[in-house]
This record gives sequence, structure tokens and C-alpha cells, in this order.
Amino acid sequence: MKKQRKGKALQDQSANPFRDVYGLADLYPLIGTREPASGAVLKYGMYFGKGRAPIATLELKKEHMPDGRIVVDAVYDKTMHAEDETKPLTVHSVTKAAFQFDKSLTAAKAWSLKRAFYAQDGSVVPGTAVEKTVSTGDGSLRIGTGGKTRQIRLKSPAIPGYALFLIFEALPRNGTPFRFTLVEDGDNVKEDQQILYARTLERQWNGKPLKLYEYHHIGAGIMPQIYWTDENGRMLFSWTALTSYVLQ
Amino acid sequence: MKRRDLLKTGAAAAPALLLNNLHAARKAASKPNFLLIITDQHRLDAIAGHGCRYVSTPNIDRLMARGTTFHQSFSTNPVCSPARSSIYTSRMPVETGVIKNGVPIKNSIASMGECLSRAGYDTYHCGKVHLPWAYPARFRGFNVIPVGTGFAEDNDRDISKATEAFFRNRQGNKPFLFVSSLLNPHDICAWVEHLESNVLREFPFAVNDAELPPVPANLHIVPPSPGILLTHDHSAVSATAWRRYMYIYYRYIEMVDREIGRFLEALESSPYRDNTIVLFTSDHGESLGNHENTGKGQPYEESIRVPMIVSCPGLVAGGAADMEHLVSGLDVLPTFCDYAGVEAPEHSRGLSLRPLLEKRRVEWRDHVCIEWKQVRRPGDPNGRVVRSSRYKYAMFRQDRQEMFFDLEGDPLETRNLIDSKEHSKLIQEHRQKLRAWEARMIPA
Repeated sequence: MKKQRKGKALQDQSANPFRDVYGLADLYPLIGTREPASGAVLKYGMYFGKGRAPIATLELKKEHMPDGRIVVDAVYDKTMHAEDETKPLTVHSVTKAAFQFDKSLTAAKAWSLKRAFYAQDGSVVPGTAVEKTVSTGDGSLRIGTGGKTRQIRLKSPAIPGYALFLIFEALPRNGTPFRFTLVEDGDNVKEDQQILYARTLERQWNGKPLKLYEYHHIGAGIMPQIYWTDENGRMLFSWTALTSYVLQ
Repeated sequence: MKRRDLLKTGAAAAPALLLNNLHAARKAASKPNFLLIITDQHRLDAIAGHGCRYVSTPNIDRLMARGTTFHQSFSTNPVCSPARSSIYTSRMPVETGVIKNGVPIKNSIASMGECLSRAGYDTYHCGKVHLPWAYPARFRGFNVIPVGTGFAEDNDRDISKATEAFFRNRQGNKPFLFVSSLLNPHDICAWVEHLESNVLREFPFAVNDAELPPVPANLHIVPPSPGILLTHDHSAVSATAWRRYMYIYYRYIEMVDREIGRFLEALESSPYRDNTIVLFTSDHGESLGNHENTGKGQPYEESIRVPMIVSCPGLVAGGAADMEHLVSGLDVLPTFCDYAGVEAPEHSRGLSLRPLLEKRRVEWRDHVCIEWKQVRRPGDPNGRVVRSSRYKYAMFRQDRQEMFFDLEGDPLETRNLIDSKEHSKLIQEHRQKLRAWEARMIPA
């Protein structure tokens, strides 16, 4: 696997296709060979602004099951530094989720999630743990936690946020927007979302031509977001002007 | 309806009324919990429930439907730390010592956490403080649930997750105060540099023109003002870039609304639903193109007016809009103290909102005072506003140019009436109100 390169360490700045679009000079996603269609492990770093160290990681493990279902395990781990003059405190916000898709990645069937804040010693910060189960069907989303279930009518298919990066392999590259309900963090429902294929960029990467496929995401309760994928629909890079995810 | 029918209805309704009264009495006997929700840079009118067509805020609207919304609500100083110091202490920034960002509250002044702890409450804080640290590991009087620094775009999600978890996991009957202090829509600050840059010029998204908010009618109207208000130059920014800037701002509002929804749902499905007073407010507003400005720190309405919504089924009148009373961030702590059954701290400058929330007649203030642009030490040049129900007087010390607006006829503050002979008596009265207010202050 190629080692991630970023920042000024890269000699050939002109080779960076991310430099001349949207002013991004410092982020370098790993662009390698195609992941097997039957499965993939993708790890993203999340960056704030022009920061060079990721402040969070998102690891996605996708498996195609013999019965046609697609199962995705996600682990999101964000490092948070609370400030203090004498005793700064580091805490991790961790979510582990397991998603099930029924053949298509553009409509999730069910998922479960566990999240909590963790201290540096690995212990759970008291009172921060939550577990939920979510299922879809009959035009509704059902979110269960603590023995109670909340039902929400859906106007469009539900895509859980952590698995959103995987859907591009199933999206068309034409002028038809994909309309969906984003379930951010697996439980925060944001309706009226659309992702639209925008254009193909042709760049050079390590002396070879590289095609990047750009998608735009707009909707209620989110920042407009840009995604770049490779020709197989593997999400390489997403950007909201303040926050970016980069494949590592 | 005949009188006899009325009597019949009354007789039938009597047991229900009695039950209601008993329920209310039982509630009154126990101390309510408090959930204080603070957003950052949230102007009062950027809420769908206030009539804004370009934003969807179902969760804040829900609070409005269940509670009382104050339409004349003001920051004490339209900058983060100073305004927050007032919310937490009921004192003006010039008294807390927090006259600029990143300064701690003077040690001798009790904070909200300390006051409520002494009243027997468990007190928790999650999110932005900025006194002095933005996201501290400790905050006087509170158990801090730590989160990290960064942009709201991601950080607010951790704050709302922690707040939700609190309501899902909380056990026991001890009353609590939980402060959930979210950062958005403050992320708009990062877009000021984009106003003239490629990002907003080449804004590539398929947003219909009809979805972009129109520029404000006073975009290019800057009335005669103290010089400190004229130091920026946004005259070259196109109307399209302004509209995209506004579009982004409203998306941040929606983002923070959805985070609020996450933990409101948890509260509503918890045993604390009927006995928790939810108070939603913000530290200051956002100019959003009005008077060709971005950000805050100005004496104009867009900078100083902030949401103030109080909700609690059974304790607070629901679906009520208070258009009349002038309220302030100073009033948050006295309100909590009132419901908690303890005295507000000595020298509190605020008033308890409780009589207004319970629709009782009460003597109320006829103006609020606001600090602005107090850049270094208390003795330095500084700005002050006196905001009465209809008028606004604003000055910046050591600058001869004062401002006076009639907000009834000129809500967008386009005509500075300071030289109007017709208004000279009113102007003198407002100057006198400011002198009286300043005489009461105990500067840090």
C-alpha cells in the first residue's frame, strides 16, 4: 500500500490534482488500484480547515454476502482536546455501527450503533454511552433505544451517514439527482437531500492521467458538499470548505 | 352557549381542573430541572417560526409551539465571551471583566453553576464556554462533559450526542441544570474570507435562484456612524455572493437545529419531560449583509437581537409570543433562581422571566443597555446602546457621531435621527437612561 503523502513533503506539487481546484494544496488522498468489487476496507481521515493532521478517522469495511445482502461495519473515532491552563484533557468520541443493505447500497435496511466518549485510559466517560437499533420498511424509519421506538415517515430512501461514502459506486453519472433521507450519525434524520453528478475532471497523478468524478450534495441541515470519486465510484475526497474527508 | 350550559360544562370540568391544579401544585413543590441551550451567532429572525422562509427549523419551532417566545430579546454585548459572561452571571460584561473574547469571569462573581449547585442542583456543561477557553476541561460550578475544539460543523454533533446521552442515562430525582452550548451558526465566520474568493464566486451547487435568499433592503445603506463602524469595505461584493453567504448561514442554522432535535427527542422520551424548563438563546446575532456588514459587534438590530424561547409543559404558557417585554441574556440566571426557589445573586442586573411566562402582570423595564466594541480595558473607548421599545440610541465614546433610530418607522436602521430637532427630547432621555445605567455598574 502506498504511504499517504501530504503537505509540503510532496516534491511535485503540480502533480496534485487537489491543488488547483478549491485552493486545496495540503491534502493528498491515496489513489491506488481498484478495490475488489466484492468487498473493501476504506479508511478516511477527517481534517478541519487546512489542518494537516486528521482529527478523526472513519473506517468502513464492506462485505458482499452470499445471499446478496451487503454488510458494512463502520468505526468512527474522533480525538477531542478539551482546553485547560494546567490539565488539558483528551477524549475520544467513538461510534461503532453495523449496516445492512438489501443488494443496493442506495437504500439501507437496518443498522445498529453504539457510541460513547472514551477517556485516554479507554474507560467510558460516565453517562455518555448510547445504543440504538434502526430499521426501515413500509415507508418508515424506526429508531429504537432504551426500550422505546420512534417511528419517522420517510419521503425517500434512508442512507446512514457513515455509509454514505459507499453509495457512489451505485449512482448514475447523468443529470438525474439521487434523492434520499440522510440519517447522519445513524440517528439524526435530515430529509430532502440530493446528490448530483456534476462533472469529470481530468488530471495527472504520478505521471499518469487520472479521471475524477465530481458529485455535489445539497440538502436541508447540511453544508453543500463536494465528492470526488475514481472511475469505480470509490470516494476519494469530500469537502465542505471547512471539513474534508480524505481516503488514506 | 347559555349560562346553564356553561354551568354544566363547568361542573363537568371541575374534577379535571382540580386534577390540573393538584398536578401544578405537585410540580411547584418540586424544583424543576433546567436545560439551557445556547447557540452562537444566531440572529433572532433566522428561525422559520419567526417567519424566515429560507430556513427550516422544525425543532426550534417545536420549542416555540410549546413555550413562550420573546421577540424583544437582546444580547448584553454582541461578542461571544462578553455576552456569555452575562448569561452565566446576570452581570454586564464591564462588571464581569469579560469585555473582549477569551477573558475569564472575575473570580468574585458567582456563576450560574455555583448558584444552582448551592440550590441543590447537579450542574453539567457541555460545549462552548469561551471564558477564557472555548472548550474547557473545567468550568467553575459545573461538571464539564468535555468535547474538543474545532468547527461547529463537526463539533456540535459531539455536543448534541453528549447531551442526548445525558437524558438517556440520567437516573435519580435530584434536580439538574444541563447547559448544552452549541457553536453553530458561528461557522459562518469562516466564510467571510470566501465572500470575495472563488468559493462563493464559483459556488458550483445546483441551488435554484429561488432558494437563495434576497439581499437585505439595507445592504448598501450605511447611515452616519461612529468611525469604528466604517472600517470595513464590502462594497465590491456582488449581490450573488451575498446571497450565497446568506444561503450558507441558513444551512448552519439548520444544522444546529437538527442537533437540538437529537437531544430534545431524548428529553421528551425521558422521565424529565414534564419537569424540565428548556431555555433557548444565543450570545449575539449575525449581520448577514445588513448595513454591508458580516459578523457581529455592531449596535444594529441584526447584531444585538437574539432568540429567547422558554418551554416547559404545564409550567410555561405554550405557543405564546411576547412582543412587548424587553428581555436580555441578563435574565437567564434570575429566571432559573426564581424557579429553583433561591435568591438571584447580589447585584444581578437581570429580571426573572417567570411572571411573564406565567402571564402575570408585573412591572418591567422600559429599556435595556448594551455594550459594544469595548476593545481592551474598561476605561478604553467603548460603545453603548440604549434600546427602548421603539427607539435606539447608540454612541461610541470619543467619537462625536452618535446614532438615534426610530425602529417603528425605520426597522432597518437606515435614517440616523441624531440631528432631528423633533427627536431631541427623546434623545436626551435616552442619554440620561445610559448615564443612570452606567452609574449602577460596578466595573471589574
